[in-house]
Amino acid sequence: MAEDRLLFKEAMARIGVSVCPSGIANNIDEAKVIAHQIGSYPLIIRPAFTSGGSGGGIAYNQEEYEEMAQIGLDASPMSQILVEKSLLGWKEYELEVMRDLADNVVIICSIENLDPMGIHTGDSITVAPAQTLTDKEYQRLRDASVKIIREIGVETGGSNIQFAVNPQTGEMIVIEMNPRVSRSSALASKATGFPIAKFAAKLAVGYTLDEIPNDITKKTPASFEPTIDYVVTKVPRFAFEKFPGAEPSLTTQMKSVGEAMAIGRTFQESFQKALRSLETGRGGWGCDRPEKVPSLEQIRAGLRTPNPERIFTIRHALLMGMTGEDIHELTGVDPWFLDKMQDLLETERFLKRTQLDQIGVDKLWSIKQQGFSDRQIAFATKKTEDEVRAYRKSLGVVPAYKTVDTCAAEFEALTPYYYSSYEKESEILPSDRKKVMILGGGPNRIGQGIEFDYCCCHAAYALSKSGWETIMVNSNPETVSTDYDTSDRLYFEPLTKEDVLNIIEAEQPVGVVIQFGGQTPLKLAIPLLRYLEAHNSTTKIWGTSPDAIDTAEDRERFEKILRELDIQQAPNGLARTTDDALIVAKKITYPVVVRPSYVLGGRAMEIVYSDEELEHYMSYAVQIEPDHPILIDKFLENAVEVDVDAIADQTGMVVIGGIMEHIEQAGIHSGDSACSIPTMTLSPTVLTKIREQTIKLARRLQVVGLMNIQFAIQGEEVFILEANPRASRTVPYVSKATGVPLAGHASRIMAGETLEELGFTAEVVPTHVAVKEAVLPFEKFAGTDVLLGPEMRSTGEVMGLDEDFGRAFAKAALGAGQKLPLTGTVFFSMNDRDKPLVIPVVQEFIDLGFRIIATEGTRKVLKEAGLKVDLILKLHEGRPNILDQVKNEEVQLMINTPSGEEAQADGKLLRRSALTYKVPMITTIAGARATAAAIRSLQSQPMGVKALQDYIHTKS
Amino acid sequence: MPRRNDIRKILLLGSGPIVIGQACEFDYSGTQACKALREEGYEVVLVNSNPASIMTDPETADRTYIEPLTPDIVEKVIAQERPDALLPTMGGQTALNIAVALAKSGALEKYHVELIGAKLPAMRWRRIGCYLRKPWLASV
Repeated sequence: MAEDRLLFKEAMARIGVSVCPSGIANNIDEAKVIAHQIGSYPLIIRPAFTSGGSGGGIAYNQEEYEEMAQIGLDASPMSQILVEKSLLGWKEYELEVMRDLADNVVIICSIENLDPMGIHTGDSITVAPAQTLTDKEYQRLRDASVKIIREIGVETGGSNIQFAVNPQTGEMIVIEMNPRVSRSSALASKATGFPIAKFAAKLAVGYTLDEIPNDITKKTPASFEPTIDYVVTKVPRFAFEKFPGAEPSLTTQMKSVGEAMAIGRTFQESFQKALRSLETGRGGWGCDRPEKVPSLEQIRAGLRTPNPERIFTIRHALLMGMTGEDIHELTGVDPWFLDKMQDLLETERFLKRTQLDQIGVDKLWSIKQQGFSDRQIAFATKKTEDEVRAYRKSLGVVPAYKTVDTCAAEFEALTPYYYSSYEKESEILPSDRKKVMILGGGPNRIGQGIEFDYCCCHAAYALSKSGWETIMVNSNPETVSTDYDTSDRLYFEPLTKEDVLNIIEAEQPVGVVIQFGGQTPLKLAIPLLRYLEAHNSTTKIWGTSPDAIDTAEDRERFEKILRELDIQQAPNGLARTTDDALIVAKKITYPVVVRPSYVLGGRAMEIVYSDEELEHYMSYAVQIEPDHPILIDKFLENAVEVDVDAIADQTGMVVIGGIMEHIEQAGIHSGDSACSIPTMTLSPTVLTKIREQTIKLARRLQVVGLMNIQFAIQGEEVFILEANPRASRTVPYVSKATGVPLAGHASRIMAGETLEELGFTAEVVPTHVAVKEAVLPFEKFAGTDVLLGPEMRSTGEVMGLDEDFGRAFAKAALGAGQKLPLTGTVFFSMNDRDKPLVIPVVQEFIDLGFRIIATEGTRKVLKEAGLKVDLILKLHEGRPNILDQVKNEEVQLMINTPSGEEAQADGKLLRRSALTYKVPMITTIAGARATAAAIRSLQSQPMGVKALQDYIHTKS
Repeated sequence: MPRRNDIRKILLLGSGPIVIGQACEFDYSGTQACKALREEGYEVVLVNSNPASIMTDPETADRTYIEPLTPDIVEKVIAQERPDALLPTMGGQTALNIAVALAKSGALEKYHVELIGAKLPAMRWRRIGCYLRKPWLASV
C-alpha cells in the first residue's frame, strides 16, 4: 500500500499534478518526521484498520498532534497511522472521464460538491455541471484529468477523478482516482443521458469512442462530449435515527444510505426539486411548515460541524440575518450558492405577504422557475395545495417537459427521457399508444431499497412486452429503473402528488401502478385517487384498490376482517396514553411489542418486558399523537416467523409465490433476519394453515397483484402478524429461488390478464435451498450497538444457493462477510432467558470439535448439563478477559445474546470489538444453530458453485 | 478498431450486497454492461451474491452465479466456466479487489483469463491519492 502511494505521487509528479502531502507512521518518531516534512498544521490523523474511524482526528498544533498520533497508534490493531495535510474547506470537484485504446479521451461531466472537502462526496450535496469555476480553472481540471487517465493507463472505460481546489489561491490537488465506474458515473450517466457503463463495456472489447453510436441521438458517436443546458442537483439521504449512539456528523466516511437527484433549468429549481424528492417531509428548501429558528449560537455550531441538517441551518442563518460571508467562513460553501439561497428567501418573503390571487401570471412563472412547489406556495399564502394547483392551472402556469439529450438540443433526441421545468415549450414526443405509468421508489433508505426498484423494472419489462407504452417516474439516480432503456419513457421527477399529477395530465396514461415502489407511491395512492376522481380523470390506479391497501394497515378494520375469516392474531391493543398502555399490557401480559402506528421498517419498535420499560418507552422513545396511537402486541416468545408472498388476480385466484422461514426468531425485523426457501422446520399442518389463510385473506381484500403476509408460528399455532397487499422486499429473492418472475406476472395481472392466462397456477417449491441473509452497516456507525431488534437496520442482502440448508446458509454468511471458522474456540455469553436453550447448541459445537469458553453464569448452566466448558472473565472481572482473547485472535466465533441493562455496556463494547477484529458474532440462538449446521456442512465438503440457470432448469 | 474476435466468453463481477458506499449504482452499471456485451454476441458469465439486483435475473447474463464474492469462489467459477476475459470495472471496489487478488494469486494466468477494461497496474492506483475523503482501508 505504502509503495503504491509513492508510485502514485511519482506518476503525478511526472505530469505536474500535485497530490495531498501525507505519510504513514508506525511509531511516534516516524509520525514526528512526517509532520515535519508536511510542514504545516492542521494535520489529519487516521489509524489503520479501525472500524468507524475511531481514534482519528484533526490536530491543530504540535502538542495536540503528538498526543493524537499516540492515541491513533494505540487504536490501530496494526499500530499504524496515516497522516496528511488537512484540506478542510477546499472546494471539491469530480470529473467523469472515458478513454479508449486509441487514446481518445472524453470528459463526460463535471460535478461540484456544494459541501467542501472534509465531507465524503457521497454525503455531499453535489451539482452538475460545476457552477463556480472560472473557465480557466475548469480547463485546468480538464487538462489534468486527461493527463492523469493517460499516465495511470486506464486502457479503456470510465474513470472518476476527484480534485480539491483552494478557494483562496486556486491551488489544485488531485485527491482520488477510481479506474472503474462509480457512484459518480451513475450520477453522471443519469445527469447527461450518456450511458457510461454501456460504453465502457464496448470499449473493453475493442471498440473506440468514435465507433460507438450514442443511443439518445443516434447521430452523434460516443466521442462527442455531452453538453447540458440544465442543472442537476443530488442530495444524500441519511438514516442516523436508526443508529442511536452514533453521532450525526458528516466526515470523510460515507454514512448516507441513498440519494435523490433532480433536474431543472436553474440551480434553484433543481435544488428545491431535489430536496422535495428526498421524501423527508420537506416541500423544498423550507417554507413548508412553521419553524422554530434556533439561537445564533446553535446556528453557528450547526454550520461549523457538518451534519445532515446543515442545508436548513444555512436557511436559519440567513433568516437570522447572518451574512453570506459569515456563513461561507463557517461552512466553506461557495458564496455563489449562498446568494442563490438568499434569493429564494426573498421570494418566500414575497409569498408570505401576498394573497394567492394577487400573484400575477408572470410572477407565478418566475416563482415556479425557482423550484417552489405548490405545497410551499400554499404554506406561504395560507391556502391548500389543491387551491394553489387550481389557481396555477387557471393562469396556464403548467410545466413543460424537456429532454435529457446529451447535446443541449443541438441534435434531435430519439430517447424520451424528460424532466420538468416551468417554460412554455414542451418536448414530449406525441404517441397514440395505450400508456401505463409506474411510480418508482425514490431515494434508497433502510427498509426501502433496491428490491422495490427491481419490482418496478420488472413491471416495465413485462408491460412493455405485452404491448403497453411504459412510463417510469423516479428520482433515484443509482437505479436500473432510471436507465433510459428500462421503460419506453422516463421522467426524472420528484415522487410528490404535484409532480406526479403534472405528468399524468401531460401523458394521460390509462393506468398508474403504485404497488411496486414501496412506501413512496403507496403514500400517494389515496391523494392521487381522490384528485383523479374529483377531476373525472380517465386515468385509473391499477391493481388492489388503495382502500384495500389502507384496510390492511388500519388496525381496527383489519381485525374485523381477521375475525370474520377466523384468522388468529396475537393478543393486542391500542394506547394513546401511558396509562392506557399499562392497562393493555396487563391484560395481554408481558413481554409485549410496542410501536407507533403507520411506520415501515420497524421505526421505534421495541420489545418490552416490564411496566418500568413500558413507561420509559412511552415517555422517551415515542411522541404520542392522537392520530397515531401506539400499537401493543403480545410478543410471541421463541416463535418462528414466516413470510409469504402471493399473487392474486381479478377472478379471485390466488397462487403462493413462496413461503419463507426466518432463521432468527420473531421479534427480529423480517428485513434483518436470515430466511430460507423452502421452509425447514414447519409441519405439514402448519404449512396448510398458512396457505389457507393466505388465500382467504387475499380474496377477502380483493387483491389484484402482489401480497405479502407475515406469520408467527408457535408450535402448531399460526398467528398472523401483518398483511401488505403490495410488492414486498422479498419478491426478488423469491423469484430467484423459484424461477418465477413474480413482479412481472403481477404487473400483467393488474393490466387485466389472469394467472390462468399467464400459466402460473401452482406454487413452486424448489428442491434446492436458497438462504437470504441481511447485511448490516454497523461498522460505519461508531458508538452504536450491533444487536438485531424489531427495527430494521440492514442496507442490503445476499443469497446462498445450494443443495442443503447448511451449505446454503454458509454461502449466505460468507456472502454477507462472515467467514465461518471450521476449527478453534467458540465464546458463549447468554442472557438468563437463553441459557437453558443454548445447551444443545453448545453440544453441537463440541461435537464439531470446537473448544468452548463461557462467562461465569453461562458456564455454570452448561457445566450442570455436563458439558466441558472453560471459564473466561468478563470485561470488568479482571485480566486477561474476553477482550484480551479477542485481540489475541484466540476466539474464532462469538455467540452473545444481550442481557439486562446492568451488563449492556460491557456487552456492547465486546460486540463492537468483535466487529473491529472481524470475529464472526452471532446474537441469537437460532442464528447459532444455523451456524453450527453450516459449519458441519463445510467440514464435510468444500463449497461448490452452480449457475442459477442450472438450478431453475433442473426443477422444471 | 472493430470488436475483438479473440474473446468469446466474458466474466463480469458484481458488487455484492448493498452497503453504505456501494449501492445499486453497480446494479445499474453491471446490467448495462451485460446487455452491451450480449448485444455484441459475447457470452456473459456473472458472479454476484445480491438476489435483489436486476443483474442477477436469469435473463440478464447467460450464466448467473449467485455465489459469495470472494476470490476463492470466483476462481471456482472460472475453473468451471473457463471465460476468456474478466471485466472487473463494473462491480465497484469489491470486483476490483477480487480481480487484483486473482491476478496476484496467478489464478487468471492459470486459466488464461485476460483482464479487460483495466489492467493490473492501473487497478493498484485505487484510492491512493489522498485519504482525506475516504475511510482509511475501510472494508468496502
